[in-house]
Amino acid sequence: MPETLEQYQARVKQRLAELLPIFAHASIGDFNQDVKIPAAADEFTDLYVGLQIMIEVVREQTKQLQTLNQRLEQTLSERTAALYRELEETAKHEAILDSIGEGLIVTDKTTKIILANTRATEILGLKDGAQIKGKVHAQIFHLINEQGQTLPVSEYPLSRALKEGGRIVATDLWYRRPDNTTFPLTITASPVMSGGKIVGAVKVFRDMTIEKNIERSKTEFVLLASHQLRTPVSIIKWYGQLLAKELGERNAKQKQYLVEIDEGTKRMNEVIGTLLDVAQIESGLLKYEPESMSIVPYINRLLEDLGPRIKQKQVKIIKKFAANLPQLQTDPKLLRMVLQNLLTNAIKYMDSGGRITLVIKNLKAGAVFNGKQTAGTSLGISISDNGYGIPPDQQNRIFSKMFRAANVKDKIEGTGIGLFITKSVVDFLGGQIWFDSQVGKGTNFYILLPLRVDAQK
Amino acid sequence: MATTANPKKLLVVEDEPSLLNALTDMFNQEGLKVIQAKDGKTGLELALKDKPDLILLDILLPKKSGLEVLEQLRKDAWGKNAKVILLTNLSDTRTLAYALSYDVHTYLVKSDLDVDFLTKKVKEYLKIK
Repeated sequence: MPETLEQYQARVKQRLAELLPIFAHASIGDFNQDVKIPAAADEFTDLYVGLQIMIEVVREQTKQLQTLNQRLEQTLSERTAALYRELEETAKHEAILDSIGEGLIVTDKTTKIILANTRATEILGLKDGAQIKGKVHAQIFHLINEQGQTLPVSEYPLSRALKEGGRIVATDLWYRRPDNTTFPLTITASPVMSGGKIVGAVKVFRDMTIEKNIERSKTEFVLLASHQLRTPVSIIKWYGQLLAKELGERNAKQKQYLVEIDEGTKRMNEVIGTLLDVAQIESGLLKYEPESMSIVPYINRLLEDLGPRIKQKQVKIIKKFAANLPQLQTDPKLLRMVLQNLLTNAIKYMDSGGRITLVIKNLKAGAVFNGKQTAGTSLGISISDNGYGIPPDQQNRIFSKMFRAANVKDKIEGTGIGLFITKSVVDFLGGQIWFDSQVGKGTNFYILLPLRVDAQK
Repeated sequence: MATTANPKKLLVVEDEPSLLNALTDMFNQEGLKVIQAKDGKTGLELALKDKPDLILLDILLPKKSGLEVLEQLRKDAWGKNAKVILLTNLSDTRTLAYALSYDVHTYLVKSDLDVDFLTKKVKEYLKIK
């Protein structure tokens, strides 16, 4: 029997009402309610089924979304943790790099900067955090030499390290800051190798102002000490001698006392001189300052200075200087140390009335001088005396510090440092020194000096 | 003893009083007239004023260094031919080297000097017997 209108209306009302809870739940995001499909199929069945399918799809998708979300969150937290670790590492590396007291710059093979620590920008006087990465090294680094002249880029330690493939150290270069002030620095540059090829370079550098100031203080101290020590010695000596003159005729005792004063001051002078030489050498202050000089007037001058001593011991000086000796390129003050030491030794270690023979020869490369062969053109100098000589069993220690030969140790004052210094200086000047000696007959000291010593050592 | 009729004038520029006096006594005894200067500024002034026959010039001096005195002396018409002997303690080798380029007769190392040697040298340069 067909439905009445009232029945139809009731049925529709009921069907729709059954759906209301589904929508109510859905509106709060709850899709867990299933749609109850009525047993009796009617016009609403398709709608009901469709709705249920939809709900199931939504449910499924929601689940998927949740899973996805979870996964995303997990990935995020993992990634975040990794990032933190990375940042921590980087911070540690940067901390390490930045806590190095030295500037560090790493460049690629084309000298473009790929890494620099904060100290580098600090030392270079660049603005805080100035981005020097990516810039060509020589654009940032303005190097000058000690005389203030700009250094060509090819001579930069970094450029040389890249080209020559070895470690380059430079301690005599200066840097000009953007504000035009300059300071000395020490630079060590090395190539960076990978797979046997040079892929870049790393450079470490340090402001040397403090060290240079210390060096200057040391020099000033030595000079001051020298002056302060030598002045009173001169005073005592001169007044002693003036007193001797004042007293005029004196008895043996007075004579002796005055001689003691004079001798005492001479010893003090020697010791002061030796101490200052050692102080200079040990504190590394001995700078090589070469000049072109003539040896003959120089030695004559030295002999003149030693006049009093020579006269007092009545030493006969014989000079055998070759004619037309060439100019010598060396440091005169260092040469003076050597010759003065050898001459004063010769005078000291002999009886009165002895003889000292000085020979200077010009030697071609490969020539033999008293048993030794020269490398390049050289000056050969020999100082021979007929003094006490050095016993054979003491000869191999004669150049060591604090050594004094047994046959003179108790007779004559000496600190034992003189020949040690002398040999150090001759070595420093690129020369050679040796000797031969016979007890009771005398000693011959020989020196070979290259005519030109170019490289600073 | 040299005649004192027309004694040679010797200017001694030395800042250490004891040394200055010792030098003065030494040369007075030899009949020389000694002019004293305790610092570089006075030394230069007296040199140009009194025109001494010989100047003994210490290198390390207050007010004006021996080197400066020498520089300025050599710029003067009389001063450029003045006879100068430098006195040094060898603690100033660099300055000494510069000073020597200014045409001095010689330099003497104070601590090595004997009174006799010094007076002999000075008389040599003054051409006195």
